[in-house]
Amino acid sequence: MLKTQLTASELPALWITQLSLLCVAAYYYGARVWIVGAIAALTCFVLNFFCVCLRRLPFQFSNLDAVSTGFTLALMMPASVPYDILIISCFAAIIIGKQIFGGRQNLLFPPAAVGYLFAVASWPEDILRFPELYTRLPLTPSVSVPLKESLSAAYNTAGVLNTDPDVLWLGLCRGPMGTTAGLLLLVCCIILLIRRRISRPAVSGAILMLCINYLILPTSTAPIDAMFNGLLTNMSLFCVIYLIGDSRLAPKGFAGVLFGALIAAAGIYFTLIAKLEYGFVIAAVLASPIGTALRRDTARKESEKESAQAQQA
Amino acid sequence: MAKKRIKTVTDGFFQKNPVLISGLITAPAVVCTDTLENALLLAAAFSLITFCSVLLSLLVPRSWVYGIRLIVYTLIAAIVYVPVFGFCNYLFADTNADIGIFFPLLTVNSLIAAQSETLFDRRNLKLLLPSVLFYIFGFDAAILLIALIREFFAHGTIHGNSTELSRTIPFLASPAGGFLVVGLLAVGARKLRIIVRARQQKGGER
Repeated sequence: MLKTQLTASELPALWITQLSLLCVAAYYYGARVWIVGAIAALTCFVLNFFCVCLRRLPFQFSNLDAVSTGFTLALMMPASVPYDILIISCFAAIIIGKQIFGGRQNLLFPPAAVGYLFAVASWPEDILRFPELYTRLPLTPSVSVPLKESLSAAYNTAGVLNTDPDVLWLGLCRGPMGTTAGLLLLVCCIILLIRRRISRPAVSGAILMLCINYLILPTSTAPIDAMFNGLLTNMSLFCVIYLIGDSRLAPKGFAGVLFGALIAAAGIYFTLIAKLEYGFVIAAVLASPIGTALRRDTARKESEKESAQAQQA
Repeated sequence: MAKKRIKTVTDGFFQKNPVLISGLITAPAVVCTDTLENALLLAAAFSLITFCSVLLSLLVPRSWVYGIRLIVYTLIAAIVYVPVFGFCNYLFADTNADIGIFFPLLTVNSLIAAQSETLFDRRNLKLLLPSVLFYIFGFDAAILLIALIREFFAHGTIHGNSTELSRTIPFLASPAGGFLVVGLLAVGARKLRIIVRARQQKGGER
């Protein structure tokens, strides 16, 4: 049986880490962050509930994974995102990214990644430009503050990062709400790994691939600095935790390590060659069907082993 | 016998809609339906080319080899294309350029080439003509619906008239967005077909 749903014990741990990232974003951008998070979570929940009812299925606790999808999507958005764009992106995430393919029983892509890419394709000016730090954003549906490109976009263009390490570790830079605070993301990653709330093989494979690549690729900075810069920019660590490490999508065992490494390699390609700050999100969507195939292959082998053992017994 | 006749004739409009159910002629339906104007031109061109080509193809003897018959059907469509192009150019002078390569590609659409012998009963002219017309209406209705949705959400207009929609989704104007809209409508159409068939079966059991 494929594990395609988050259990009751996994969801609260994910929510706590996502809410902690929203806390940090709220410190930098004001109360609007909470409204964005609430709108995303509520919209995803309502759409998922509607689809489950339409399919005449019982609504279970594991269906609340839609709330986690909403939080993940909100954390990838700028704090200045208009509410209507956010709601349409949630629609894309739940309806197109999840329910069209059969819901949580047949998850093909990370739903939040689908919603985010839909938003980027439709409204790049609103999604890829960010307000300055410590700007108290108004609570209105759309804001008219000055917006600029993220630090990651500037890094991709210039190839060099002329900032203090504190900027990346503490999230003191423009970027998506929940993807810039490197230290907090690292803590969330460690907690979720220890509690087995995200896929250990996939996360390990992805981080290993990222570290090896940034250490050996020729850059103008020291290899260790390049490694940390690569991990803490371009939504890398965030995508590793919440997209690649999604236990509903990642295969078990060595297949999971391969899966994580493959997505990380594709993400590095999109980031370095195509200069896309959301390269890892694209990689997560493109490589997820491979994960589905690997999971089914692993499940088939396990069931064959079990039936062989049962026959021997 | 009368029930079977109705079922065959109207199949092309809904039960076997060429775009939303059968998945035929998808390329022009996806690329050329970003505005209602383009869809109207496509519908007019498709209707004229397909109807005239299927009618003229009845003159091709059945004794010829199947492969040769298909080639001749396409040649007939190519000949029909010339006056249809001139006529559409007169009616839709500004829009013709937007359709581009997909206008001549209509001459090789599935209803003329491969599917014409499987979908239409060529021995019964009384059934053939309405059947062809319903398939054509089914395609036209599908692409007009797709174009209406795409133009409204992508540009905030309907046939060029502004609707003052506060937030548009420009992605839907692209081919990828077209695939998305066609896919979602296909899901809805298939669901509707399942519901209709279930009700028909329930009615039949009673």
